[in-house]
Amino acid sequence: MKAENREDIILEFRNVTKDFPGVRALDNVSFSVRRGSVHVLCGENGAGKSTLMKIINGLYQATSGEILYNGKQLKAADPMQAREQGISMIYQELNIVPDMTIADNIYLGREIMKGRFFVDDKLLYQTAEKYMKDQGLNYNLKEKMKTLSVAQAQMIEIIKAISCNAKIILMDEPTSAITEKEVEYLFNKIEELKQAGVTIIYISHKMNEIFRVADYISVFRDGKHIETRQSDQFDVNQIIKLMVGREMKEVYPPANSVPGEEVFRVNNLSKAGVFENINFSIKQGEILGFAGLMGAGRTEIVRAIFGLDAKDSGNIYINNNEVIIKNVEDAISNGICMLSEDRRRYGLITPRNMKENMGLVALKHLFNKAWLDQKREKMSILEMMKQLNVKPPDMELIVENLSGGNQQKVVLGKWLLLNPKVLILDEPTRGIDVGAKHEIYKLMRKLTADGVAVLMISSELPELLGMSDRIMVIQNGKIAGELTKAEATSIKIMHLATGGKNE
Amino acid sequence: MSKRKYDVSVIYKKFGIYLVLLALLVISSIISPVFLSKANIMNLLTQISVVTIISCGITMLIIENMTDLSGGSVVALTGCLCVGTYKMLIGWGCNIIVAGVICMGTAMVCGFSLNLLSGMVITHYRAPAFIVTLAMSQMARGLVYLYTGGQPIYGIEEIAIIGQGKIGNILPFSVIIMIVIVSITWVVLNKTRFGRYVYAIGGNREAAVASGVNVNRTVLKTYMLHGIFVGIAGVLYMTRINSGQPAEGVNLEFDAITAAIIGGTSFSGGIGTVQGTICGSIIIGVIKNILNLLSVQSYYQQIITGMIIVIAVILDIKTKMSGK
Repeated sequence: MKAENREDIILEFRNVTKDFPGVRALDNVSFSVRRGSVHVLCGENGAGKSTLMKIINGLYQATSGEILYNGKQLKAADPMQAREQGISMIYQELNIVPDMTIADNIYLGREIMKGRFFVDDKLLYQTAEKYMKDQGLNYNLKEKMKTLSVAQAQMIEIIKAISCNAKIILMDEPTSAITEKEVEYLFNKIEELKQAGVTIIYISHKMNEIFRVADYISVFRDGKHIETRQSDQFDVNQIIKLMVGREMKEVYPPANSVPGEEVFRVNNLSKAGVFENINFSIKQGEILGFAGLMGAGRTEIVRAIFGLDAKDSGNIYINNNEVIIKNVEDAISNGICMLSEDRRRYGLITPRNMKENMGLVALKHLFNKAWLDQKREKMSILEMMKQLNVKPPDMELIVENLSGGNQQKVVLGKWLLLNPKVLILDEPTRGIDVGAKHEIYKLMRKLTADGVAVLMISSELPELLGMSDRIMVIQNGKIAGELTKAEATSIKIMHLATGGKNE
Repeated sequence: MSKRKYDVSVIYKKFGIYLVLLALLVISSIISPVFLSKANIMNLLTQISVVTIISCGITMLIIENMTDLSGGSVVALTGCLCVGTYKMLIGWGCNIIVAGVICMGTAMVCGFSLNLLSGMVITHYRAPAFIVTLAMSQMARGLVYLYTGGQPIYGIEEIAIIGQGKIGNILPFSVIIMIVIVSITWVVLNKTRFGRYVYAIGGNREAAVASGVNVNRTVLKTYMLHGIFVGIAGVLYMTRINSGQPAEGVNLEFDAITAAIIGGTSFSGGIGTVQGTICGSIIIGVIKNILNLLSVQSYYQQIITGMIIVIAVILDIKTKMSGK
């Protein structure tokens, strides 16, 4: 770094290394972040981006190396201290207290006090109101936080950061749970923050997003910093190549099977106020895509089909025979399996190992013995791990410590052990890296070649377009339209999803 | 500096509780020459048998993110019911063996039923186990006073042999029963589908539901099994002290929970082993035993046990955070 540019550097990493037991999460990382820029960190899951953010944020401490903040060594023992020094983080999973009011959430942990013991509610609400106005938002501050959508809650997090006088805001995949429209809003906000001189460090897996917001891009791989450039000196292929260390030929493998007989049919599925009159069918070896905005009711529909939530009415048929599904067990015994959108919440027993996680459903529905047949269990699971390319192939590893891609493979493996007839995949590639995504796509092709009927919900349009044989668009709990692979385009889908007129 | 600390925590994570136990045994045998005598060891094991039996079920419940605070009261009730029933049957001229079997059966059925009731309220209404079993503790204590009229039951005759008898004049029945129940628990947790479900429910209840695990049925079964264990614990307790004492068994459940926690069972659920729990139970037993041998006032024992719980919890948290 040239001497005259020193002033421009807000954050500088010098040989930062972070070791976890058995894993080097960050390996000798050195680079700088410019004041007032949007700096995007790219890399596969497990590349070390999140670890780096958590070190800046004070959640972790570096094993060795140093971080200079405004030219001085950064000392933050915890997120609170980091915040006091002007570094705020907006987490992937938002940290909110749902039953407290919006204003109280904004000032949580640093309430405006009257004297030593009492909260000055009046001043607190006034100040919060002022920040809201400044940001052009008009939420009722006295409402409970839980009344807000994810995107709205995210705005509150940003206001929280601004009200702390943040100089650096860290954002870990802020768009993973919000709609395209809300993404626009977020990007405008980021632009405003940048104009105000705030530095943003941003993690994302979505390439189109990265190029929209980034001034600088740093690519990480296996804990190492590979390269930092201005964003206009990168293109998508270069980044992907640097991330995975190899060229990605085809992101979406081509279909290799022709859909056969109808396997699965849903008739007039309804649940008051959530979804109504849902009709569709899936053929053997077919991938049906469910498109729609966040909150359109897609997840609710498949949860009802899978027996996780109750439905008001509707019939489900497998091979033209009606099946009664009252709970998850019924669904599984009829050959329906579902990968949930939130793997940490509904997919994984986090404190247990891969073996116990992958074998959980098979215990009853495949091995079907009260006593464990550990030999058989181990063999089937080892076979499945090989098939899914889980690395390292050690089934005693605790799933909590695995990368997102491996965790997703564990959940997938749990269901695939049963050889499902119908596989529901709710956001199968959310929050996992490019390499693992590609593997999951290949796996989906293999499953359809074997005749599995797949229902895929995805919020990523390229994924829907690349993988689905047919796409149904859900809008506001109703089917807004159906598109064949040939006729489907992003524009048509978005028209239907937003309730706009088509053509 | 930090490197060393990390090594210690890794070793502790793997063998911690066993090393602590070993160190304690070595220290105790140095302090007191009688500690390692056959009689003292058997005495120690007899003393911990009741708590260990309760802690087996409690370990499973804590792994499941449940708990049981009614153990002590239910022990009093099942124990008194056992000796009371025996006395009554003998009074009617019943055969000793038949009376013995019936009275023990009564105790087990009683422990089973009360825990089944707790479990039903907990699963059906999704009520917190903490509160429900606390309420059950009150009720069981009330029931035992009602049953005994608040008076101890004396003259329990031959049934006392269960708590006091020994094989070959060395190995007490209560120790054998304890070993059997610990073994059953180990098999259940490690060799059965039910055991896997126990861990899965505690590790992530929602994921267990989404995997088709019948959570309520599993939790209910755990309470039922624990209830049978508590019934047996009651029989051992009252026959050892040679009378039915309705006011006895207070805080037994806390000793059992303590043993489980010292043994590494995590209160956040999904983690724990019965091997750990029995180590925890022996550790508490050894400390009490050695303080007894040194004629230290029993009040100090409580203070020391309390301190050990805190240390165990801190170590548990420290080892979990060692990566961060």
